[in-house]
This record gives sequence, structure tokens and C-alpha cells, in this order.
Amino acid sequence: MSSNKFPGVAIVGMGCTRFGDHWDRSADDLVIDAVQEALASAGGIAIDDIDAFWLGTAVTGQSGLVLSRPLKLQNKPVTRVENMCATGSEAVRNACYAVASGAYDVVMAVGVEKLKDSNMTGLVIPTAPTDGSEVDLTAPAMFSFIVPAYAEKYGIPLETMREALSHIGSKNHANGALNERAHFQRQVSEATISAAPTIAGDLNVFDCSGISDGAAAAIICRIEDVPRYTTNPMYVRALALAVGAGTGATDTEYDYTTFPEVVASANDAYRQAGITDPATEISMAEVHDCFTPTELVLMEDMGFSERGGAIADVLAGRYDLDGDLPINPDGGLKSFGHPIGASGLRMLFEMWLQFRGEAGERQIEDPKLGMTHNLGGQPGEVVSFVSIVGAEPG
Amino acid sequence: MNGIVGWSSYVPRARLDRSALASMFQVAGPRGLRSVAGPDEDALTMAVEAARPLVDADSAVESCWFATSHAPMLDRGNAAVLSAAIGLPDHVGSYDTGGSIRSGVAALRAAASQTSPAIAALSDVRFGRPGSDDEASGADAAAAFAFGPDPLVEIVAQSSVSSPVMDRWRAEGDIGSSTWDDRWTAEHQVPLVERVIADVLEQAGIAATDLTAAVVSCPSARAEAQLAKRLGAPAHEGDPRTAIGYSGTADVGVRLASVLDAAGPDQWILVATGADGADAMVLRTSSGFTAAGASPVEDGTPIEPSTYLLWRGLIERAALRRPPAEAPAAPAVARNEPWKLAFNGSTCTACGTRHMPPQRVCLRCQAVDRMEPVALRDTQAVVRTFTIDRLAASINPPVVVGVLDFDGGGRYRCQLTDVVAADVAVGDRVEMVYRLVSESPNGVRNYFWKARPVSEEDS
Repeated sequence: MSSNKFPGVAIVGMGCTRFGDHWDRSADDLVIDAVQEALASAGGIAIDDIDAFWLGTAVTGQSGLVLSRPLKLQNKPVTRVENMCATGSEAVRNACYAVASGAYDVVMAVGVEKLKDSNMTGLVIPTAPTDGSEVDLTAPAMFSFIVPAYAEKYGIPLETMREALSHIGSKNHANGALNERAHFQRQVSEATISAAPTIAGDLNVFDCSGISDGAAAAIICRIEDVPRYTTNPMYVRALALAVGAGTGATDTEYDYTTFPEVVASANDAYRQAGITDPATEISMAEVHDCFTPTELVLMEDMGFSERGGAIADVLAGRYDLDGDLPINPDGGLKSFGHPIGASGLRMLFEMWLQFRGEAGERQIEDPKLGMTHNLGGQPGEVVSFVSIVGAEPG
Repeated sequence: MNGIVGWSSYVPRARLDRSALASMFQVAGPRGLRSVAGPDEDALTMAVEAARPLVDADSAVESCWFATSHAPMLDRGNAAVLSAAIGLPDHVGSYDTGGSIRSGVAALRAAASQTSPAIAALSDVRFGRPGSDDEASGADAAAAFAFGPDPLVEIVAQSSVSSPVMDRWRAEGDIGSSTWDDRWTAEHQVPLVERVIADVLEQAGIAATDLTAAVVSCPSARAEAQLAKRLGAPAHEGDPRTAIGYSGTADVGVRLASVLDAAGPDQWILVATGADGADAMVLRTSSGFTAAGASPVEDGTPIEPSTYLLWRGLIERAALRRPPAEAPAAPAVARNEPWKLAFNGSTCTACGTRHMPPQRVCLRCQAVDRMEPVALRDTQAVVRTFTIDRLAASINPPVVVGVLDFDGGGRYRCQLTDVVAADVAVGDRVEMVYRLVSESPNGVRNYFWKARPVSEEDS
């Protein structure tokens, strides 16, 4: 990777709606709610004082008008970005670079998705017209390839795989049960998860992230400008994005037990932040647990577990809320829900709460560095985003 | 005039017990089994399977003739798709003859009368109104014949008579045909067939007793039985009509292919059909003819009547809350024809890596525009991993998708077909078959290649 050392920027305000089945709220309502909360938390800055906006949405609308219309923005620069399920992170990333470059002083990143008006089962991903030769798989089927491949590579019995996946799902449900903004706020036992009927490969509904409506927003400025807005900011220490060549499904050397793009993006972020031992230096992480086997493999791709060692670490509780390295303390995509464009910002919102000591029953003691990881695509063709954030500018 | 230089037939794997179907409708029905096209099969895909073995790299075919009574596509020809899918070059003329049962004979005669090598593919999916005799007695199958000079089987004589007889009729879009009293049909038809048989035997200068085998194919089982009895030709062991039923337009071809498989050198074979009149041919195997060996139709896989009705679209599943299938884009299909139709990938000439679909930039060495095409439809593969997608909309849920590693290199992920989801295993050997993927609301039928397990007899 060849990114330069990131100069660092600060997040000085954040907002996040509850994620869920917002039958009574439009995308506009969700945007307004998230933005108002973000403005209030940044010392009551007026929206007119925000210089520029980045809006992340995958399927809820096109162009900056999706943001300017509900907020009645008056001729502001608004950029709509999209990078599949990493769309929310992509909005943040571009907004951060805008202030780091000096082009603007204070900017806002907003992510929103309204998925529950579609009457579709599962996520529907729009595609450009094709020759019709590509197989039409649903997202859980795409990620289900990991389970048998991982089991075979490391000689792990499928029952043990099931135990670990159910532990991940149960852990994320338990964390979400402590979170008033989560879509699903109830505990689900490992036994219940293991007994559910499959929907794709070995995956059942409890292995899949929630499909939700929601919005989240962040206000970003350069580090020297933080005192104008807050005494309690969160510093962005690294931003990395790796987009693969998308050859996994046609390359005999790809084995479905890793995301090479995640390895690349994590290593880039660690280098930017000066992290040499992520397994001990990172205090907590929000990772893209779109499906339970994704979270399992991510633990290895990010260097938290040895190759082939994630199963044992998961089952030992290392990634539980009270473990050495809590993963998805807010409940993750699994129980907080996954309104595509908002998810990357939601991950940062949990970091924001944790560093400010506002995470309630989920509060992690004295966190030093946090990580958010957001990916889009499917095994074999992924866009992977990693950020490193902290309470100190570094 | 051309003679027969090659033949092949295809019978789909599913078998329906006629008595189970009859008891479902509480009617009396014939006994035995009928073959049933899979939910992703139709007259076009079966014709592809039948004709594929007749094409090789040296093929000098100049025309391709397709016949069916149940064309999956109208206005737009099926023959051009067939021709591309079996890898024939674009200078081959490809033509549909269709609509009637007799079009099977039309395709054979058209290909035989060419002055250059030709292929005739006869294929049919036999429908009938629920509970009807047509439904129970029908069969789904296809056969293909290669014609050319220096034939293995010479066409010594042929004769035809046309009679606009109203023995059966079907309007476009109808599920099945209506028929006149079969006794009348037989009385009208049998003399016509006997007339052309007498004519071709006389032309060939032989007697019925000189025949080693005879194929007599009529929509009316009564007429067919009467003709066979009066002709007195030896019954063909393993006749597909007995094994799978009457396959309409394809019937004469499927049964002739079976006879030819079992034939030896210097034999006389009669082919007679009775539809819209009658047609007959006398064939003579060459002295250099070597027997392919009898090829009885495989037992197949039993299916329930309810499965048959679902596959036929005679009963409909509740729709999933998933988006309707998107039709392929015509320009994209045209751009990618070697891939989309013929399953040709590309090989990087710099490093040898295979790409499916073909690419311009090599995934391994990133060399640009150093590719050469590689035909992969006849290459077997191994299931590296797979998944069962119970959420995806499909014409035959659940969708089973395999990640396939091809012999000699190359990976592709595609649907598996002709499988029971629970029986799929990593390491299974598969072969590629041309199948229907989806039907979009605007009526476009999207075909592409899928993988099916290699049957034990073929491996």
C-alpha cells in the first residue's frame, strides 16, 4: 500500500437514529433526526455553518439532492457516494479528506438507507444490465461459501464451526440487547441459533445481519479547530480502503477462507496509525459482521487471531463484551441492523460513545484505540474499509 | 444427396409413473414411465444436448435444421441459438421448421437434401391437458443427425403423401391438443402409411422381410400398433417409445437413433411416420458400418406427479418476495456471444491462466489483450465448494450453486442442475449443460450453461 501518513482529523459531533423497521418514518425523517442530533452534539453548530456534505446511500436515492431536499440546504456542495455495504464509511472517508486537504473547515458525512418500504425478502442489490450469465445468488448464499471452506482448510468439524458461529451471533445479540438504538434488542441463545432452519448453505436467519432503516451523521474538522465545537472529540487516526480485483470467483487459488482486501486495508490502517500489534493495541472494534462467518474470518484477516485460530478465540470469549478485545459492542450488523449507507457511520457512532464514556451498560473500560471495519461485496470481490480512531490525536 | 454420418439422442433424466398421474386425476391411464424435461429444459436445450456430440473442430457443417412442435421462442428462431450453443461457426445457416409433429421429418429431409454437410435436430416437449392420454403417453426427448457425403447410412428411397387430416389440433398457447376419435384416425392413417411403405420398398427393390429393423412412428398409438403388426418387421429391443413414451416431433429421430446404435453393416432399415399424411424412407447401412452398440434408455430418476405439474407450470408456486428475474440485455448478449452461447473462455498466452468469462486483462499476470479463446463446454469440472440458496427466486428452488474448478484450469461459479440439493458433495464431478436460467416478465427466456453431475455410466 502506498497511502501517506494520514494527518488526522477530528469528529466533533455525531448522531444516529435507532435502526429498525421504521414503518412510520421516511428516509427524509431519518436524515433530519440524525443530522439534528449531530449538530446538537457539536456545540449547537448551525447547519449553515457546515461547509460541505457527503451523503452515503446505496439504494435510497441518487445525487446530493437526497440530503439537500429534506434539510433545505442552500446551494451547498453535497456529494452522494456509494461503495456497496461500505457506503457509509466511504462518505466519512471523503469528508475527512476534504477537511484534511484544507478545502473546507468543517464538513458533515451522512449515511441513510430506507430498505423496509420494498416488500422484499433479504437485500436487493440493483445491477446494470448484463448478458444474464452471472448466477443470481442472495447475499447469505454468497457468504455461506466460507463455512465449508474454512472447516475443510483447518480440519474443523462442522459442529464446532456451528458452535463458533452461534457464539458470534449470540454475543452480538447480547450486546444489542444493551443498546436502545439497536434493531433487535433481545438476547438469543446459542442453542436457539444453532437450531434454526438454514436459508443458505449452513447459514440461518440468526447468522444474517438485520435489514433495517436508519441514518447516522458525523461532523468533521481539522484537529486544531476542535475547541470551537467540543471538548470531547474523537480523533480519526487512519483511513484505509482496499478494493480487490474481483477475481475470487474465477481464480482457482482463492479458497474462501479469507478476504485479501481486508488484510490489505487493515495493514494500511495499522501502518498509518503506527500500530504494530493490533491484537493488543486495539481496545475494541466494530467489524462488518454481515454474516457470522464473516466476523469469524475477519478476526484472522485483521490479525486479532492466528490463522485457523479464530474458532478457539471466539469460543474462549476473547471477543465478548467482557473479553480482551470486544468486537461489535453495539450489537453489530447482526442486532443493531444494517441500513447499508448508515452502517459505516453507525460503527463510528459506537466508538464515539465509548470514547466519551456514554455507552452505558456496554461501556468498555478506558479504551485507547478503536477500529471500524466496513466491507461491501462478497467473498472473492470485496471493497474493504478500515478506520482507526482514538480519544487522543496520536 | 447427403446420407447420415452421425446421430445422437438425448432423454432428460426425470421419469413419471403414468399410473401415478392417472390416479391423481382419477382416470384410467396407460402403464409405464414417461420421460419429463427438467424445469430448466425445453425443446431448445434438449436439442443442444442431442446435437453437441455431432460437432467437432473439423466440422464442415453448412446448415442446421431444428424441428419441434413446442418451440420455446417464436418469431425469434431457436435454430440460431442452437447453432451458436453447439459451437457452429456463424456462416452456418440455421433454420426452424416447426409447429407440427411432421416437422421432424421436414428437418431430416431438409438436411438430407443439402449438397453440403448439415445437422438436423428434432426435439419435443409433449404436453397434454391434465389427465389426457396425450399427457400420459407423451415423452420429452431430442435426437440429432449429421448428414454429409460418404455416409454411414445411405438414404436409398423416400416417399411421401400429404393429407390434411383433422386427427388433432392445437391453437397457439394451448396446453395440449384436442383429438378426433382415434379409431377413425387409425382407419384414415394406416392406409396412407402403408402406401408410402410399399412405395419405398419397391423403389429400393426389397421386400419387408429384407428389413432388419423398422421405425414406425405415429401420434396415434392405435395406428402405430396396427402398422407394426401388418408390416411384420422385427420389434426393436429397447425401443424408446416403450421406455419413455411418444416424443412427438422428436419421436422418429429418437427411435431411429436407437435402431442405428444397435445396427450392423449392410442392413436395410425402414423409417415410416404418419402425420399430416405419411412419410417413409429406406435406409441402408454401409458395408464399413461398425455397430455403436445397443443404447437402452437409462432408467432415470422418478418424480412425483406434483413435481411434474410444477415443472410444467401447470400449477404455480407462490411467488417469493424477491425481485423478478431481469432479462439479459440484447447488446450484452451479442457482445459476449462466444461466452454466453458457446461457453468459450479465454486463456492468457503470457502465463496460461484460464478465464471464465473471457477477460482482456489477465487476473494472474495482468497482461493486457494477450488472450486466446478456449472452448470449455465439453470440459468436466470438480465441485470445489457449493451452497444451497433457499432465499433466491428460481424456476426450481432451492438454487444450488457450485464453485467449479475445471480440468486443465479455470474456475467458474454457476448453478447446478439435475441434482437433489441434499446429495451434492464437494468433489463431485460435473459436466456443462445448456439450460434455462430464468424467464423475465417481458417474456425473455434467459439460457445459460449449468453444471450437472456426470452420470456414473459416463464417467
